[in-house]
Amino acid sequence: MGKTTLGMGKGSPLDARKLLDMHFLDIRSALLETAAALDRIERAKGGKEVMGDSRISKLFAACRIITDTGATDRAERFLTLFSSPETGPLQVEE
Amino acid sequence: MKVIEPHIHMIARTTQDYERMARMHTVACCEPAFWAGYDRTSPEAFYDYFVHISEFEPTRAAQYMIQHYCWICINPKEADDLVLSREVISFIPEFLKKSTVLGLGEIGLNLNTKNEMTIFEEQVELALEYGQLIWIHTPHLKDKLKGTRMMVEYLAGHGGVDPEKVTFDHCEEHTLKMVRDAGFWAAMTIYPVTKNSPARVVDALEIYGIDHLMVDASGDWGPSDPGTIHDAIFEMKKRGHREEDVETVFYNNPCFFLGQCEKFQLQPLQDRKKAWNGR
Repeated sequence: MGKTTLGMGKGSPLDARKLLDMHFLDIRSALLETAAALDRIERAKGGKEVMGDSRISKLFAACRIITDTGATDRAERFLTLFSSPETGPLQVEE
Repeated sequence: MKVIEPHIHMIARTTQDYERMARMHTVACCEPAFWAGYDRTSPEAFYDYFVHISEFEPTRAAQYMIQHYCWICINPKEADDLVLSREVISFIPEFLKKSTVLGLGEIGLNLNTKNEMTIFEEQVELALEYGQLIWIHTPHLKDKLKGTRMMVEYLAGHGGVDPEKVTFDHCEEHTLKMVRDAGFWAAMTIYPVTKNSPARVVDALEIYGIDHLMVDASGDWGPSDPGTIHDAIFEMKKRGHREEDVETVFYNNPCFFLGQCEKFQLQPLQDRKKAWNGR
């Protein structure tokens, strides 16, 4: 039950429902840890100011990527968001 | 099932880790030369380090029936010092002759500086001159995408580099495709916080297939665990993947890549085309 004929390079052999069953508590836990960590930062002395930090903005932007429906490249876009910008020909840093 | 660990820094691990790896059916491991957590104070320090990983570690591993191989180079994190790097490069050929040295590695970039790129290029030329395999370190976090692209574009445009003889390590979702599209081998490193998790590694295998891909645990002096490669094996099995595919990722594929060096003694359990389902 829950198995498909897919395999390496063709998606998971398990169907989506089975994968959700498998990963639901892990995902819930990771998101809860994120929520609690942001609460911890904002509660601390200077918390209100630090919420304007560019790193926090990036984390919120990452949250928006996570909640995109119909996308299957969330992890790639997440990592690209946190990468150094590179436009045009590569410039080697001095 | 036998397992090959393609990238681990055993100099930073205890003998008990060799025992754990042996109990989890690891039969060989490969140790690329890397940064020690502090900048070494002289070329002689590198010389001693190379002696350690090419002579001492194989004897320690052998006690647990694990074959230990290594890669020699000036690592990217210390390659910004051109004078030091060139002194180290001058004695690398002496180590390339040793029976457990597989090639140049892990060369690459750290902060994507001009000096790092210069030393990367000089070590590529050394590998070509001596007919060696190449193992590449890609930068971490925000520098990974740019650094990986710099090296892929350089090697792809070089004209004298056979991509089959080059592995880019520490690939993630945003760099895997460009490495494989250019014909190189890619490896994914399981490492807490800065690299991959076992689940994401298996996701990548499901998306891209198993050809030209390896997985490593990267145990080193930081918070890491040689056992995580076995967590990825368990994850792959848990998701219902075929035993033959698991064996190809964690044993046959390292044999296919590393076996291009005649010093590597282990043999794959099936031929490449069959293992890669006709690819």
